[in-house]
Amino acid sequence: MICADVDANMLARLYDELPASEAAAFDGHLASCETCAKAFTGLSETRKRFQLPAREVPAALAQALAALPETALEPSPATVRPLWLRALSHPLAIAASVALVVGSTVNLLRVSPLFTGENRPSIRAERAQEASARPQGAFEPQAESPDETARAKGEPEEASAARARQLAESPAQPQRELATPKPASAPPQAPSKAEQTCRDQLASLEGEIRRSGSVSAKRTAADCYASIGQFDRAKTLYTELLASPEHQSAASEALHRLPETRADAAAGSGATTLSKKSMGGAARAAPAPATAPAAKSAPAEAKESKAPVGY
Amino acid sequence: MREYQQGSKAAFRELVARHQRGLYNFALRFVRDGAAAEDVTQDAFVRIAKNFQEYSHQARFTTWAYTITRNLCIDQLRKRSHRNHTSIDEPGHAEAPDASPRAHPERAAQAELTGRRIEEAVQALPVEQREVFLLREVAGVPFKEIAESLGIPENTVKSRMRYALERLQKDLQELAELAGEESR
Repeated sequence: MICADVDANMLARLYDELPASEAAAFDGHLASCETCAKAFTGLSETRKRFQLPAREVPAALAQALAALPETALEPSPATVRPLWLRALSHPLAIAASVALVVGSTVNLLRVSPLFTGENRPSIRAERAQEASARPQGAFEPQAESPDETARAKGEPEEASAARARQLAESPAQPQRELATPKPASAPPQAPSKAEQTCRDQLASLEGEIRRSGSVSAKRTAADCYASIGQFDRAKTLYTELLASPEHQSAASEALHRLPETRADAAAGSGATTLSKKSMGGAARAAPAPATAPAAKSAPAEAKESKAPVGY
Repeated sequence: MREYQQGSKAAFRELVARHQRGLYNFALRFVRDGAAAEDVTQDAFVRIAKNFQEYSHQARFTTWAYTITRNLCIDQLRKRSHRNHTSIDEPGHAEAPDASPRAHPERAAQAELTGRRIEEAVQALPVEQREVFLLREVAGVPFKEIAESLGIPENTVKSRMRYALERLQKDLQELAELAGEESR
C-alpha cells in the first residue's frame, strides 16, 4: 500500500470500515511512513476529542413519544375505509353483492334485443302462443320486460322493440343510479373516529399555525379539513402550502382533488376522502400524512432535501 | 421493525425506546435548538409510524430513521432561515455538557467551557459537513449508507467528513492554544 492508498482509506480505517486484510496493509504502511502516521493520528485524536456527549431526552418529549403508539398508530383519515366499504367486506355482503349483480345481469339480458327482439323468434312465438292460449280474464302475470309491458299496454310491436333496444344500449344506467350520491339533505352520519380525532385536533393545529406558521401543522390541518368536508379552509391551507418546497407537490395534487365549489362538496355528501397516496408519498426515506399525535402532527411526506441550507 | 410492520404496538414502543436518544441527539446537534430538536424527534417517530410500510429492510432501520430525521432537520433549518429564528448559537441557548466533576470546580468550569467550544465547533461546520459528521459520529451510519441516504457518491461523503475533521482539528488546536494562554 502506498501513501495515496493510505490517504484514500484514511477515514475507512478511522471508522473501522476497512476489511481486515486492507486494514493490516494500512497499519503496516503507517508503521513505516511517518507522514501518513502523523496524519492518521491527528484525525484520530480529533475524533476522540469531538465525541459529543449524549444528552438525555427531555421528559416532555419522552412522554410524548411514549404516547405515540396510541396516537400516531390510529389509522389516518386518509386511510380509513368508509363504513359501506367495510360492510362490503363481510362474507354475507359479498354473497349478497354477487347475487345482486347476477340478478341484474339476468334482468338486463332479458330486456336486451338479443333475447327480446327479432333475434329470438322462438321465444317471442312461444310467448305469443302462451298469451293466445290464456283464457280471457285469466290472471295476467306482471310484465317483466318492456316488451311485455308494451304488449300489456297494447303498444305496437315496433315501439316495444325500440324501447328494448334503447334499454339494452345503456346497460350501465341502473348501476349509475345506484352510485348516485345521497342528496345533501340526507341526515348526516356520525363522524368516524378518525374524523372526530381530526376535529379534536383542529383547534390546536390552528393555534400552532397562528403562533408559528408551522408548515406541518398546516398540512395536517388541511388534510383534516379535507377529510371532514370543510373544503374552503382546506383549499386555503393547501394553497399556502404551495409555497413550501416540501409540500408543494402534495398540496398541488390535493388541490386538484378538492371539489371546486361548495355545491360540489354538498353533492359529494360531505366527506371526501383523499387517498394517502394522493396526499403525497413519502420522501425517499420518509414522509406521509397522518392523524396528528397528541401534541404534534405528521406532515405528509418530506421530499429529500439535498440543497445546502444557508442560515 | 418487522414486528411493528405486523401491527405490534409493543414493537413500536421498543423502537422508540431504543432510538429516541440517538435521534434526539442527532437532531439537537443538527438544528442547534432544543425545542426544534424535540419537534423534529417527535415528527420523525410519527413519520416512522406512518410510513413503516415503505421500509423495505434493504437498508438498516437506523439509516432509514436517521434519514427521515435528517430531512426534518433540513426543513427546520430552512424554516429558520426564512424567519431568522433565534438559535442555540445565541447566548443563553447553549446547554452545558454533562461532565461536571463537582470535586474540582475550576476543572469543572474548564471542562464545561471546553465542552461548549467543542459543541460550537461542530455547530459551526458547514451544513453539508455537519450532516455527514453527525450521521457518522452520532448516528453511527456507515459511509456507504450515508451516501445512499444523501444520494451522493461515497467518496464525496468521505471528502466532506475529512474536511469536517480537519476543520475541527484546526479548531481544537486553537482551543488548546487558548487554554494554554488562560492557564498561564
